[in-house]
Parts: sequence; C-alpha cells; structure tokens
Amino acid sequence: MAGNHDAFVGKIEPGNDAPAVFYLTDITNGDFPYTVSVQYADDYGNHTIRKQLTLSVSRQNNVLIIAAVAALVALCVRRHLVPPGEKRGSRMSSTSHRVSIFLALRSLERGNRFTLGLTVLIIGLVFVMLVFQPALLAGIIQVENNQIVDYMYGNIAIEPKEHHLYIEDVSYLTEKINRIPGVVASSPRYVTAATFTYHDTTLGKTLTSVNPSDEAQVLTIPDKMITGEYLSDGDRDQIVIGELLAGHKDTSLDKLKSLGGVQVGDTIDVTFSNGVVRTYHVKGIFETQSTTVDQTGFITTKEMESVMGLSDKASIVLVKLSATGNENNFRTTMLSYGIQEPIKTWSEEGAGFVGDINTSFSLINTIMIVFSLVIGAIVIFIVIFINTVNKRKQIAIMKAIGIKKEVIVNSYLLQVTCLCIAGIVIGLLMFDLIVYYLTTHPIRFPIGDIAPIIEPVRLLGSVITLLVVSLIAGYIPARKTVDEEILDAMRG
Amino acid sequence: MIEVSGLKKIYRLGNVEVEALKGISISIQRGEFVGIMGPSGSGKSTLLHQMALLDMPSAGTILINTTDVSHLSDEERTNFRLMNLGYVFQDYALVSELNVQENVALPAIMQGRSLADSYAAAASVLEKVGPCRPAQSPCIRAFRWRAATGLDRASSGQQTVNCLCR
Repeated sequence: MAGNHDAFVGKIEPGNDAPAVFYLTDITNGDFPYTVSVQYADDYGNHTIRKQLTLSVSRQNNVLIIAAVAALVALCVRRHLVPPGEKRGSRMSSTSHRVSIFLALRSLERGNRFTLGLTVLIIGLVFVMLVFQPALLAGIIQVENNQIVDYMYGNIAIEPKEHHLYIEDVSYLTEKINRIPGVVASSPRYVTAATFTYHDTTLGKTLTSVNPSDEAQVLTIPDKMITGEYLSDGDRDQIVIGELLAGHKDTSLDKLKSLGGVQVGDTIDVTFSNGVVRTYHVKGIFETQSTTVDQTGFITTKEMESVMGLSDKASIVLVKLSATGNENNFRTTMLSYGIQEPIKTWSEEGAGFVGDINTSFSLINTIMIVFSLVIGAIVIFIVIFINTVNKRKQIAIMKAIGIKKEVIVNSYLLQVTCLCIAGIVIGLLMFDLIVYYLTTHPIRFPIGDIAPIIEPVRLLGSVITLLVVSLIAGYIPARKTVDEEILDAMRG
Repeated sequence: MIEVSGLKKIYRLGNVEVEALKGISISIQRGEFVGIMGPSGSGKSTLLHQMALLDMPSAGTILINTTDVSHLSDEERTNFRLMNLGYVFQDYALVSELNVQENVALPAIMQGRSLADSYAAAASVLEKVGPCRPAQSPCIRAFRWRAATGLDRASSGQQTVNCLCR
C-alpha cells in the first residue's frame, strides 16, 4: 500500500489529543489488517504501544449513480416518446418521430411569426430572470470571500486551544508553519476590545496588533491605505485606522458612527481592556470596503505586548497559502506537521458572515425563480392552449386520417422545445450583455463593487428547469385537445 | 367488403336518450358504389361515422374485409384508418399548415414511406386527378405550382380533389 507509513504528532499536553495523519494511495476495496505502533515519551521514559487493527476501504462511485439517473431519465423520455404498442426501434417508432418532427417544423415555419417571436422573447426574459439574481448573489459572495481572505483571515486561521485565551509559544508555532511547503507566510495577531477617543467622540471598537512585515505578506490591508502609510515594525506610538472608524467631519457622510473626521497626523486616545490609556498618532487610514475591517484600528505587536504585559502569545495566527481553494486538504497537511491548535479555513471563519447573506438572498432567489418559472409556464401554456384550441378541427382531421395521438402531442412538445431553446439562446445573449455591462460598470454595494458571475452548473440547471417546466406546460393543453373525441372536435 | 349488422347508436342528451341508428344491417361488396339517401336527421352521417371508425357504435358489429372493427382499441382503430380508409369530409378538412402536396403525402409519410417517396406519390396522384389532363403541360405546371403553395390559394373544387388524393 503506497503512502506515508509514519506520522509525527508532536507535543501533547495532558488531557489533550492530536490526530496522526497517514496518506494512503492505490487502495482497492476490502479489509486490510495492519499493526499500528505508537511511540511516545513522558516523564517516565520512552514507551511503545502496538495494536492490531483492520482498515476497511469502500469506494464511492458517483459515476454509477449519475449513469443510473441518466438511464432512468432516458427511460422515462423513451417511454413517453414511443407510443404504447410500438416496439422500440421498430419502423413505426421512427416513423412516428419523423411525422412529429415534420408537423412541428411545418407549424413553426408557417405559424404566426409575431406570436412566435413574442413567445421566444418572453421565454428569453424569463431565462434572464432565472439566472440574473443567482449570478448577482454569486458576485456578492465572491466579493465577500475575497474580503475574508484578503482582509480578515488569510487562507487559514489558527486559533487558541479550547479554554485558552491565547496561542502560546507563537514564535515556535509560526516557524513550524512557515516551514510547511505551500505556506507563503503567517501573521500572528492580538485582538482586543478598546475604546477610541477623538476630541469629544468615544467609540468602542476592535484593536488588533500585528507584526507589520508579516502582516503585509498575509493580508492586503497595507495596500489599501487611502491616506498616510501603514505601520512599520518599529512603530510604538503610531496607529492606523479604518475609514469607517475615522469618519468625516460632516457626520451625515458617515455610513456608521465614527470618530468624526480623524486625519493623518491627528492623535487619538486608546483605552485598552486592562484600563491603560495610550495616545497614538494616526499614521494612516485604510479603506478595504469590508465593514468589519474598516471599523478597526491596528498597532504593532510590540506596542500591544508592552501595554497588555504579554509575550510570545497571539489571539490568532493567519496563514497565507500559495493557492486558494485547497484549504481543507492543507489543514490535513498542517495536522501531519504537528500543528495541534484548532485550524480553521477562511470559509469556516466567514461562514456566519457569508451565511447571513446566503440566507437572505436565497429566499429572494427562491421567490424570483418560482415566479419566473410560473410566468414561463403560463406563457407556454397559453400559447399552446390557444394554438391547439384554434386547431381542434385540424387535430381531429389528423386523428381521423390515422395520425396517432402521441405523434400530434410530440409535435407540440417539439415546438415547445424549439421555442424554449430559441428563448434560452436569446436569454443567454441578453444575460451575457448584462454581465458584460455590469462587469465594466459594477454595481456599487456597501461591501464593494459587485458584478454578476456566471456559474456554468447553475446556468445548466436553469436551462434544464425551464425546459422541463415548458414541456409540462405545453404537454397539458396538447394532450387535453388531442384526447377529445374526433367528431366533437370536428363539429367545433 | 363491408358487413354491418344490428348497428345501433344511442346519444345521451342529459337524461334523454336519442336513438340515431336502430339496428342497421347492410352489406357492401367489393367494387360497389353505394349512395345513402334519406331525410335530414335520419342517421346518414351517423352511419357513415360508425363505418368510418370515427365514432363507437352502441351495439352491433362492423366487418371490413373480415376485420371486426367495432371491437378494436383506440390505437388499433387509428392504425386501421391510416392503412385502410380514406376520407372526403363535407368541408374539405385539410391541414392548413401543410400545402397541397404535403396534405396528400401525410398519410403515406405516417405509413412509413420516405419523405421523397411520399412527395413523389402525392405529386403523381395529384397529376392524375388534377383539373387538367396530364398531356396539357401548361396546366400541369400551373397545378404543380399550386401543389407547392398554401391551401389558401386552392379553390373549393381543388380542395375536394386534394381530399380525394389523400
């Protein structure tokens, strides 16, 4: 069995546990007996424990599930398209399809062009309604995610162990982290509540301390200075604050309660959680467009340590990876390198933040999607209903001369499919134009500039949903008219 | 050969039953031309509808070429109509979205013949029964032009001819 057969856990404090991670590859299904050896050292010396265990491997095969679902769908479609009594693959079956296509094409070719165009346009608009809102939500979520990674947590955040206020031996920990392949840098932070006072205004906000050179490698806040400069490693009486915290002299311009127009070079008093009050010169003001970040202030770790009486500790360590998107697997890598503190990915840290947006928008999304589909279904229903009612006599004639009911129904379903596909193509073009416009002229949201994002899977889902709903909406009136008695329909 | 015996058709209008056919029995031999006459409301159309498999009789049997068509399923009746019967309705009853040639070719296409074969057969039949004799080429050209155009340009007589061709 290929993979690593050794794992280093590191130092474990009494009462704690830590995972030992093994990578095993090229494993087939089955039960594999193995021996696990645990070597450890404590105050009483070196010890080894051996235990016989069995590894059970079962592979999940999604391809089979997908194939089964596809086969089921194909069977359902086939059952409908092949009229009862006809053998699959028989000449009559292909003839029925041929006649359905023949009738559908003639009807589209010689039907009312205006009605046809209007129906296609409405389906196109329905499609745009179906995909636009989710695309906008995807855009908002992406901006939120970028903000979480760039301004709040990096790719991975390491937190203090349970019941601990701080991460201990943080310099040892960051050294260990920085040695892991794929880690760009790590930045330990102290985060504390503090009171900011400027002139007569006092606000309670978050104060964070950083090692500026580390921080600049992990987050991009130093690149977001709108006035002044970011902190340097040696700064002691300097602070940088967010644009929302600094605010404006004209408070009507403030989005949130602010200090009332702090400028670079001004001094503000900061009261720490232990009661110590320090006066800092404002070295710079940054704007990230993240409401959370832009309400905070930053000082250097050395300054924080001197005020709080801390040493080699951190509230959180932020880690920047060389690539975003593989954080879950990287957590396993970090565990295998002996990181024992809780490791959270940026998506876990921001889950509550993005989750709120998701919850709010998903309800609006659902309402919009349901309304769009209902409108689409009603339009198709009315078009096919009017079409079939106007052609009751013709349908009866066709039945009289020996055209099967299923052939006539299928010809209407083919017409619906053609209308729907044309509508979806028009809708896609309109949607592309909207996305192009909004990408070049993004919507300004409080959280940043938002542009809709096209998600292929969601787009495909919308296409299939609209097609299915349209087919159902077309099938009902077509079937109803076709099932009418020949003589009743011919008499009108 | 068509054998009809004891054919009855009863229509229900609410609680009232109207007996349109009261046990009709007729026999029509191969090659015979038969006209059905009678006063209005005597059941001529009703009888034809039953014999043409456009309606289900309330009682009795209809044998067409030894097939008892009165007991066929809906699917079988449709197939029987396609393969064995032709119709000329009082009001021409053609499919307006199909042109003259396509209307004539439609049953042939449904019978499984290729599109080209069906069109050729339709054109051939149309030429045979056209308003001009085949030898009259200018007329044939004019008729061909009509065959490829919509029904709205065909005269009443032409539409009746189309039904016969179909």
